[in-house]
Order: sequence, then structure tokens, then C-alpha cells
Amino acid sequence: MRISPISDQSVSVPDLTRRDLLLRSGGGLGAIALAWLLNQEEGNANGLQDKVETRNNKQQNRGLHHKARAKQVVQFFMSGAASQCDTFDYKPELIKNHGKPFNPGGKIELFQSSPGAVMKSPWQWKQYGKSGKWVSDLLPHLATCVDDMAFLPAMKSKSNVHGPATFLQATGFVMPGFPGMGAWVSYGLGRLSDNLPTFVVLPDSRGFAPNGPANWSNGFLPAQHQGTIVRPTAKVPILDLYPPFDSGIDRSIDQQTQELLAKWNLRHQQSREGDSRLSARISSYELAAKMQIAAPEVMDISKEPASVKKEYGLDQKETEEFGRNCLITRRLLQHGVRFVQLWCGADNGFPRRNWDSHENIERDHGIMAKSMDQPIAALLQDLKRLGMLNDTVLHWTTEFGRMPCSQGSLGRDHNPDTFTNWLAGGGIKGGIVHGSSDDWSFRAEDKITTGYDVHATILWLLGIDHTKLTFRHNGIDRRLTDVHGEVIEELFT
Amino acid sequence: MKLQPIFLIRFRSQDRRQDRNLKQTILSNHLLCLVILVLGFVIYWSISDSTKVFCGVQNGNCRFSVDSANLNNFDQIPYFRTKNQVDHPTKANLIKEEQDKENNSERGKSEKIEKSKSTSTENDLWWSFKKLQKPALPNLTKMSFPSDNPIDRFIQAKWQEKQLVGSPQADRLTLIRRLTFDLHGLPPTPEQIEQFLSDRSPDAYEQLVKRLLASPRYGEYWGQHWLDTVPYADTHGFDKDKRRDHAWKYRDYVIDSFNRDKPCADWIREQLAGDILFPQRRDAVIATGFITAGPWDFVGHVELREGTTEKEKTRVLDRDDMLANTISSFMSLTIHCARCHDHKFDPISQADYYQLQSVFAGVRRGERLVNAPMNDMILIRNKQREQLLEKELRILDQTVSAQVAPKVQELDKKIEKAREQWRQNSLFFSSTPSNSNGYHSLIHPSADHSCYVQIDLGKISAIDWIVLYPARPVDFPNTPGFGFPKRFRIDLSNDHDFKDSLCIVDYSKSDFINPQDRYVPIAGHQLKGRYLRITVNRLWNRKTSGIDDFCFALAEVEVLQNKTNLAAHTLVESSESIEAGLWSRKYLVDSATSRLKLNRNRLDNNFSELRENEKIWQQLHLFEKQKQEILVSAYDANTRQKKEKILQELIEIRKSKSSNNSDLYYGPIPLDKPRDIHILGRGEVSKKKSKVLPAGLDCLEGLSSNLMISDVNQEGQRRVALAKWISSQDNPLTWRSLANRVWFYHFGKGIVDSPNDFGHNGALPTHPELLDYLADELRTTQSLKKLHFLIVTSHTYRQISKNQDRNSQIDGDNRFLWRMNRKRLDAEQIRDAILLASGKMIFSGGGPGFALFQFKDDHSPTYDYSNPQFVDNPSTWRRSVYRFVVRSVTNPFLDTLDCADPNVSTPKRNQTLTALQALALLNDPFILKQAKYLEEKLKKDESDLKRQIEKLIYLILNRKATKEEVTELFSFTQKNGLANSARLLWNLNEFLFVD
Repeated sequence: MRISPISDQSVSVPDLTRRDLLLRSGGGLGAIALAWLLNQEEGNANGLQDKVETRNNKQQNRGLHHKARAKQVVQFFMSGAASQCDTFDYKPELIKNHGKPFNPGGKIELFQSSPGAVMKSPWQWKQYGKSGKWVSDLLPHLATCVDDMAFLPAMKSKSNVHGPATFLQATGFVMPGFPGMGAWVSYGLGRLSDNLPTFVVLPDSRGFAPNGPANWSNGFLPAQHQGTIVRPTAKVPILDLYPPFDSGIDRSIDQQTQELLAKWNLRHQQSREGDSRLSARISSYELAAKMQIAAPEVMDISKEPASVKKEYGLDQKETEEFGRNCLITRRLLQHGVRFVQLWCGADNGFPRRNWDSHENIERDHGIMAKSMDQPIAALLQDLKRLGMLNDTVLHWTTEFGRMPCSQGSLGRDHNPDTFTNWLAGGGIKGGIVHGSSDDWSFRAEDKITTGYDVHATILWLLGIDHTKLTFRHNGIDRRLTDVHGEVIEELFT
Repeated sequence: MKLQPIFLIRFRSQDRRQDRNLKQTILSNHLLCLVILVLGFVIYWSISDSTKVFCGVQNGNCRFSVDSANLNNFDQIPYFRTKNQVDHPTKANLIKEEQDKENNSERGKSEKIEKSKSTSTENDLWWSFKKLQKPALPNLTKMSFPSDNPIDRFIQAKWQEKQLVGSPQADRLTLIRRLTFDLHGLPPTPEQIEQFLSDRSPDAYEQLVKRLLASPRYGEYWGQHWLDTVPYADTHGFDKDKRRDHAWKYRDYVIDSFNRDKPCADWIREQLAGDILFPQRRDAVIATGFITAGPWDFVGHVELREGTTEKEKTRVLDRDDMLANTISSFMSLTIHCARCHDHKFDPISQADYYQLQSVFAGVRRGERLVNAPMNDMILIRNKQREQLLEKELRILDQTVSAQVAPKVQELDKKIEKAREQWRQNSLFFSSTPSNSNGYHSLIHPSADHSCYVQIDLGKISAIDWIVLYPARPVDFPNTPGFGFPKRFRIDLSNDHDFKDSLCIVDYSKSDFINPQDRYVPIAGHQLKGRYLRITVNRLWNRKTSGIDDFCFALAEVEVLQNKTNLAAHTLVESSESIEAGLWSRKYLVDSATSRLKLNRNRLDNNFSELRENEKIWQQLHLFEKQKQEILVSAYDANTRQKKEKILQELIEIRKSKSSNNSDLYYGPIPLDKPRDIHILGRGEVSKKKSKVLPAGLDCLEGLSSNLMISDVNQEGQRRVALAKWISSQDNPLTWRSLANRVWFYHFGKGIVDSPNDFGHNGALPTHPELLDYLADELRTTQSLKKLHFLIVTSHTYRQISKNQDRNSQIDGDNRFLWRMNRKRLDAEQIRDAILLASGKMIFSGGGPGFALFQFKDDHSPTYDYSNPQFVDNPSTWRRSVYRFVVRSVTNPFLDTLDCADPNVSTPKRNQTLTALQALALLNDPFILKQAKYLEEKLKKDESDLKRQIEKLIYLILNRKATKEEVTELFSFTQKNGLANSARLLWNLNEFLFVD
């Protein structure tokens, strides 16, 4: 395993392995190698200094390269491309010119169609909060949280095709095979809890988004950094956590198995000292047993008060699914999961089950937005109430935006030239808008930002310098941000 | 202890704080520097004021990076080398920050590269670019473990140098388990163990190796290593991850090549250009599946419109994938680093990159006929002939029609007028949008295909009007008149199978006009019938991404009796249908076109508009027909004969194109002409620079960069030239790369530990002479099996894997192989070993991959691994290499066990030990089911529980059980059963690690 350089910010040593360093410094091999391997198990890129942390540990915000402002992340991914000009990017021009030919100047290249007429949003707009941020009626609940959010309305993507663009926002590359942001964070910071995975993914219950689990794979990073899929309402919420029901294996058998397993493994190890992988594997079974106990506790929301469930929308059909995922997200955060990724939207099939509203924006965006609006707002408020928002970055994103002109008569085509993200929570200044799109919400104009910048910014909040979190793969020191990315300091408190 | 280079850097940077920080960092964190400081190796560097120097140590290899605009001084920077260490810090190691002054820096870099190329002398040439020569064997006066094997001489020479003590040979049981897993990816069977243990002949081990190498199991395991590198999968990847149902032929080719020990140079050439070099050999043609094995974006390549920037980007990335796979797999260079800028570490310029990329400028990925390429030359000739004939025909037509021009023009005017009259009527439409398209046939390679769709009106009814609505789908390139048939007829019958029928219209002999967005009303004249059938015999051309393919689609059919639509929501049947997304038989009668819902109430009672429109299109049809007739009549006997001859030949050529479409494989499809390739500034398609033609790299000693392409306009010749260049005896990288891969898999560690990167940023060889020796062997013998034999019969390979404290203090990583490395089983080894032990393994060879998932084809196909029935299906009890590999949704069980990600070249798998792995091995349905089968098998074979347990241990751990173990497992099994004991043993370290 390659690690990123230790400490000082002004020097970059591209490819020094901790192992090399330790071994060559002449320390006692056994002890050091063991520590190294156990640390690897903890998924820790920073070497020996970040031991398993717990919530009780007050010195938790040390960060990898500088003091961290937050230690956990929740990412909401609106799969299929959520429209900016029907949610957060208010443009009076569109209302004024509704139905007139769309002529913003320059070349217009659409994904499927030729540009139709200017189309105003089917929803009304109002201003909210102290900041007076305009939000459409599509998102009445999120609208109440604008003073906690920092908006990026001048986001740009490299691609207007779902697959590559989704990869770009999720992994920093348009090609498959690269680790998701959660995997990088896991690699960089390790775990906060020793009985739950570091990176948890809650897919849309209707199916996987474009690219499938490749969006959150560990890529070339070690497997412990991959996103663990949790499906709260599925028959098997976490794969292989328990033996299947029909296997007849009960707790007593499991216990006897673990005991005998440990005994035989120790015996096997005795004649093979000096190989720390053997003991690391023995302890992985202890971790597994802890996870078996912890995971169902976290997922069990039955003891949550009815008022809380109602807040998350568990009492309504449209919001129940995503609301449950949001509530479980809060519980995962409380139990020390480092990175939670929630997908709102499945594949690009029909009838529409994601945000890709080519045919009818009102109908399809209506359904998608309703499902997540109240739950995300509830999660944000809940975290705030519990004092957790300070330590948690919330990130709302999508692969690209949609056109301000119509497709067909009621839909909108892809628009990679401007779309909106927002961030909230740990270290983020609320109620601000950074950058803007043109009068049409057609092209990002002022203070243009990219997925790389957002990735760099989130890593910065976690105490990571994005240029230094690297992993050598096939001859290249890979980063989440490739060779790009600027930390958007204007967003920080 | 090996001494590392050390350097103290003198800074004259303006930023004092930074200087201090840098020094502090070096002193406090790089203990190494401190240690060696004490040893007194000090170098002073004195360079210009504005220069910042970064330094570090990597794999025993010092690295410098300089951030400076002052490139001219680079050659004056002194550097330091330790003995036995080749380093090259002066030129390519130097990082030039690229952000500022793009143009300047680009020029600067080219100068740098030029310089490095022109001033390269033998001494400062990077090790892997140097000519490959057979090194002399080390002269050893005494060997601690005497051996004739040259490998041992190289290895033991290093031991002496490093003061290491080697390890003795392992016992036979350890050796057979190690060797069988290593060569077959499987544990040895009890019979194999017995045979080896009881063989008293002096060459028992060598015989075992020969037996193992001769078995087809060998290719199945070693093929997997290559497939990891390529990387191979059975789907495209990305969004809309479609199946590649014929890709497996390449997978089988790889396995078969290993088993047949195909000469390496042939093997390389076949994979890059087998279709051109050996068109008569099926396997060589299929081999080119290598080029197309990587991921491919269906949406970008198929759905995206032609002529867009996005399309170009997609194509650049596609060629990048082909090139990167080729160069990193065969030559272990990271050429893809030079797509956006000159390579930062290796002397590869952007021009070099695009020149090589242009080798693949004439291919696209797709399904291709295996035996068509046999006639590739003929195909190309045919294509040229076809184009010529088409041109001749065009000229002939023009000349002839000029004679009748006035008449035609007159008709054209009428046609135009009629089209205007036949306006796009809105009478039928509401403003409510539709959420379906309509009916869509399958897609066919030729227009002349017959199919039908029929509507059951429920009872025999008299019909006033039939109205056909052409489709204009919203989820596909926006095309009016999409799928409207060129030739068709409509019949009415009382019989479901149309044994007896009435014809309403018949356009099966002459082409119908495409109505585009206009509906087509057809009077029914009160004819009676229960079933209405539209039979199509010539399809519409979809022309997607420049390829001709054909289909029949309709948005809606109405059958009116008065103003009632009898067809609404009735049963629709068809001879075929794609049934996907917005297309379905039922959408043909859902009272909605592909755009809007229908509103019949606005029809007037005497159907005047329908009548009018019918008249117009009939007229239009008549005019078109007249025009054709006039045109035909213009031909005299002579010109007609000429024309018929041309047409006859054209039909023949086209027929040969579409014949024999059963034997498909997934491979490179030649384009008519290679696309132009330009150097792209920063890799962006909007920044086209000069155009390039194929060329090789010019940084390799003894190998010219001239590819010597016979004809650059023939795309196949480009690939042939590259294939020859890569597989040349003079290519210094190819043979080193392949030899190192083989070594890597045997020892779990390469002589160069970065198998895909032999450049300046990769690892250095621990035993450079040994690597050259092996590479030269491979180049001479061309046999991988001989190389395996040489390696596994060495003492080095046969050592025990036990640790020795004294050695590990000197070389903790065992880089110098003073013992064998203990290896953890791969994901596939684990799964295959379990199947073998349970007795369920079926060795059935290749063919289409078996599915461990439930597949549902759709707009975006789904692959669902959650149904355990698929795991427990006998059709899946085959070696893991034969599974259907999905890119977007990888197999979660194998994934957790560090299986290679098929999206990216994986020459070296990760090895992790995680809690999720423990859970997978404890609880995955696959393991639990196989444990049950193993229990059944043991009970059948043995009646005594003690014997059952002994056999269980033998099958899983491949050794006899101790008394203690039998006792312990006996009481466990009594309580919990044999299946639970099997589950336990499959979780043991002893099972998962090979000593």
C-alpha cells in the first residue's frame, strides 16, 4: 500500500511508503509491521497517528494535513440530472420570455433534441430566510433551510452523458475504475467506529443509478474502502451480515464456530510467527462479530419517537422510503460512519425513476423532489438540533443540470454548462451563494466551479489537502481530484 | 542494510519559512535522511534561486522534483548514485509544473524531451529502455544451496551481497499445494497428493510440474491473470451497461493460448492484428478481441448525436483505452499519461502519444463476424467496388434524367404542392403529452425482412377508417416518421391466423412515401373483420451512428367505426417486438402517439378531413410513381442494360455483406478510412493541433520508431505494423514486461514490483540481471511454459516460507527472496477450491459465461445478485474464470475477496483482510450451500464420522488431520453437523494461505 506523505504542507513526496520508512529506519520489524497491518485494516492513510477514534474522543478533529472542520459527510446524489432552473436557480428572464424562441447566443448543443422555446419553471418562486434566497415551490421544506446552506449555482460538468458525468461527480473521473469520494475519505481518515463500515451507501430502492455500484467502488484502493450497500427495507439489508434464514445456523453455532476457528487459527499461527496478516485476519473475525451486533441496532428505527418519524415523512407514502434512509443516515452518523451516500434516483429506464425528465418536467421532477425534499430538510434540522451539524458536511449534488428551453413541449434536455450544488454543515457558511449562471440559467458565468472544486473543498473541511491524498496505481499517483480542484474558501465560516 | 542515497539541499528560495519547513520535514519525518546523514553521505546542490526542489525516497529510488522555469540548467544538476542502482534524475524525473504558461511550458517540455533523446548515451538511458542482452551468470565460488538453475545463481549472489541466508527446501506436501494453486489455481486432489508423495524417482518434482503444465487447468488460471490486465468483461460498463454476448470467445482464446503454449510473438501479433495477419485462422481473428476488451460507453457511442463535441470526446477516450491497454499490457509503459501533456516522468511527448493513438484511428468496437475477416481484403475491395458502382449509377441516372428534366420538374412541383396540402393536422390531438412511443419491431441488418403486427377488435366489425400515426420518439434521436415501413399491406380477417382475408391496401410492391409527422388515413369502406394485420416487407433505415440498420415502428393505429376507435386498448400481437422502455405492443393502441394523447371528439361526422387527406397522399403517391415511370422510360435499351448490370452487381455485393451472421465475436470493426488524428492541446478536442500519422516511440535503444507501415490508409496495416514493432526481438520492454509478469504471479512480487510501469515512476528491478536473463530466455524460447518450468524448479521457488528474524531485519519485505512468500488465495481460487472440495466442480471448458445474477434487459439492463438461486444453480458450478463478468455491478462475493475490478487494468490485486471478508466467508449462501453438498458427499463416501472428519480436513487443508484436530472437530460436528465443520474449515487461515 502506498501512502500519502506525512505532515508538512509545503513539501510533496510523491511515493514514500510508510512501510519503506519504518523498515529502513531499523525498528523492530515484527511490532512495526503488525502495527502497520492493523492500521491498514483500519483504513488509515496517515499512519500511526490516527488510531481508532470514537465519538467520545474530544481530539477527533485533528485531520490528516490540517485541523479538520468536520469529520463526517452525507452526500445526496440526485441521479438523472436535477434541474437547476426548477429548484434553486431563479431567473426572471425565463418567466418573462416563456414560449419565445431560445436564443442565448453561441453554439447550443443538446443531447437528444434541437432547442425548443424558452420554458419557465412550472413552479412559482419565493424568497426565504434571512438570506432571501429564491427557491421554487418544488422544494418547500428545503427552502426553510437556506440560511444553513451555501449554494454553488455555477457548477459545470465535462460531459453531458449520464454515465461519464455521474462518474465525474462521484469519483472525479469520466472513466470507470476510480474510487468514489467515500472510498478516498475512508482511505484518508480511517474509521470512527470499530463496528461499522466507514463508507455506507443507500441506493434508491428502485434500482441502481447509471454505472451501478461502480460509482462507489474502491477502484484500486484496498477493498475495505468500498461503499457498503445498505438497503433498509430489503430482505437482506446488508449482504452476508448473517447466515441466510434457511441455513439453520443459529447464534450458538456461530459462537462455537468462532471459538474453534480462533483456536485453530492461533495454533496455525504459532509456527508462522512474523506474518502479521495472520493475526490481522484473526481480529477481522472479532470485528465482524461486533458489526453483527451493531448494524441491526443502527437500522432499527422502531424506538424513534413518532414525532421524529413524522418529521422525516415516514407517515406519507411519497416520502417514506427516502425518509427512512435519511433517518437511518442520522443513526449511522451517530454510530460513527464516516461517509454516507444517499441516491435519489435509479437508472434511466421508463417509466421515469430518476431526475432525467426529458418528457415532462412537472410530472417527473414533481415526484422525485417530493420524495426527498422533506426528508433531507428533516435530517438537516435534526442534526442541527443534536449539535451534529457542526461536525457533518452535507452535500447535495447531481451529474449536470437541465436546459432552460423546452424539449418536446414539457421536458428539458441535459445541460452540462450550469447546475447547482449546495453544501451545509461543518465549516460551511450558511445563507450564501457563490457564483452565478447567466440570465438564462444556461451557462455558468461568474465564479465557475466544478466537481473537482467541491471534492477539494469537502476534503479540506475534513482536514485533507486534496493534492496530497494520493495512491500510486499503474505508475500514476492518483488523486480524487485528478490534476484539478481548487478549495472554495469563500464557503468557509 | 542497503544504503540509500541521501541529499541535503541548499535553498536560496526567497521564502525563508518554506525553507525551514522543508528542512524540518526532511529531518523530522524522513528518518532515513537522518540516518544516512550520520553516515556522512552529503551532497550539495546548488541551483538557481527561484528553484524549489522536492525530494523523497521511493522503493529505494531517490526522486527529485523541481519546480522551475529554468530548464536549461537541468543537465548541470549533479546527482548521486549508489552502487547497483540505476537512476535517472536529471531529466525525466523533473516535474515541471504545467499550470502556468501553457504554451511556454509545452515548448519547454518538448525541448527537454528532445534533449533527453538526443543526448542519451548508454549510461544515462533508463534501465528498461536499454537494449536487452543476455547477461553473464554471476560468478559464485560457493552456493549455500547448490543448484544448476541459473535463477538460483542470481538470487544467491544477491544473498551474499546483502548478507542474507537462504531457506531450505519445503516438504513435498507444502510443495504440491503451493505448486497446484500456483499453476492451476486449485488445491491438489487427494489422488494427486498420493501420486506425488509416493513417487520415489529423483525427478518426481519435475514430473509433477510437467503434469500440471500439461493440464487444461493451467490455462484457466493463467488466462485469468492476463484477463485481469486487459481488462476483460462481458458487458460494456458505464450507464446502460449492455451485454457483450460474444465477448467470451476472446476469453477462451486467451485460455487456449496459454494451454497450447503459443509462441509469445505470435500471441502478441494475433491480439493486435490477427484478423489481418492470419485471416484464415479462426483463433487469430478472435484474438483481436484484445483491442476491444475494455469498457465502452453505449450512450456516448450509440445514442449521442453525430457531429457533437461530446461524440468526439467519447471517441478520443475510446481510442485512449485501446492504446493504454496495448502499451501498458505489452510494454509496461504508462503512455496514457501523455494524453494531455508530455509525460512528466518518461521521455514520451504528446506527439508520441497521438501518433500511437492513430494506430487505432480506423477501428470501432462491435460485434463482428469471425469468418468475415477471412475476406477482409475482399471486403475492402468490395466496399470500394460498391462505392464505385454507386457513383456510376448516380452519374448514369443524372445523365439519363436530364433528358426528361422538364417533365420531372413539373411533377416535382405537384409533389411539393401535395405535401403542403397534406398538412400536419391537429384535429386529432389534445395538448396532453403522451408517455409512451408505440410499437417497435426488432432491429435487422437488412431492409428486406418480413414481419407483422395485428390487432384483435374483439368481434367482427365494419370499418370506416384506419388511421396510422408515424412515431417520433422522445427518447431517441428526434426523427419524424421514425420506423414508418417502406412497403406494407393491411389485411382484414375473421380468422386469427389470416387463412382467409380481405386486403385493404397493398403497398408491398412499391415503396410508400414517408409521411413524417402526418397521420395516414385509409378508408375501410365498411369492410368487415375481427382481426386487422399490418404486414411489412421492407423496413425503415435507422442509420444510427452511421451504420445501416432497419426496423418497423408505429406510434398508434386507430380503427374507426363512426367516431369510435375499436382498436383502443385491444389485444395486439406481433411476429416480433422489442418490448423495452417506451416501446411496447400495447402502446400501439393506447390512444396516444409518441408525443400527444389523441382526441377523437373533434372529428366531424362525415370525416371530411380524413377523406381529404387520404386523397392527398394517394395523389402524392401517384405523382411519385409517375415520376419513377418517367425516369424509367428515359432509359433506352442500352442504358437500361447498363443500369441493370450495375444493379445486379450491387445486389451481389450487398448480399455477401449480410450473409453468414451466426459466428460473431466482439472485436474491432474497421472503418472505411481511418479518422484523422490531431494532437490535442491539454487533451481537449477543441484544441486541435497538427495532424499525426502512426509512429512508435523513439526512446528505445536499438529499435527505430518507424513503424514501416505499408499503407497508412489501410487501418489494418497500421495495427500490423504496431504488432510487429511491439513483438520485435529488439523491443527491450516487451520481453522484460512479460517475464516480469510471470515472475510476479509465481512469487507474489515482481522483480519490478510495478508490472504495468517500467518507466521512471515505477519500481526499480531488484534483480536487473536476472530479469534480463529471464526476458532473454523468453525471447529465445518463445515459450511461457519453459519459463514457468525454469522458475518453479529453482531452489528459490522451493524454499520454505518461514520467517528468519536475522534476515527480516535486513530485508523485511523479502525483496531478495531469502524465503518463499506466503500467499493468500485469490477470490477465484477460493471459490474454485470450494467447488472442487464439495465435488460439485464441473470442468466443462469455455463457451458463454455462466450467470451468477438475474438479468433483466431494459433501457438500462439490470444485474441482480441477490437471488441465491443463481448461486446454487448447477450451471454455475464451473471455474470462476468462465463466469459472465459484469462491469457496472460486479459480483459482491468475489469483489469482497479482492477480485480484480473489470473496469481497470489490474496487474496486481490488492490483498485486504476485512471484517466484511470474514462475513462473506462465514455467511455467503454459496459457501453454505457448498458446505451442505460436501456433507452429502462425505456421508456417501464414508459411514464413520471420524473418517468423514479426516476426509473433510484432507479435502480442505490438503493434509492429514492430527489426532487433536479430529477430537476437537468430532465433538463440534456431533453437535452441529458436517456442513458447519466445512464452513469452519473454509474460514481458517490455513485454508486461505499457501505456505
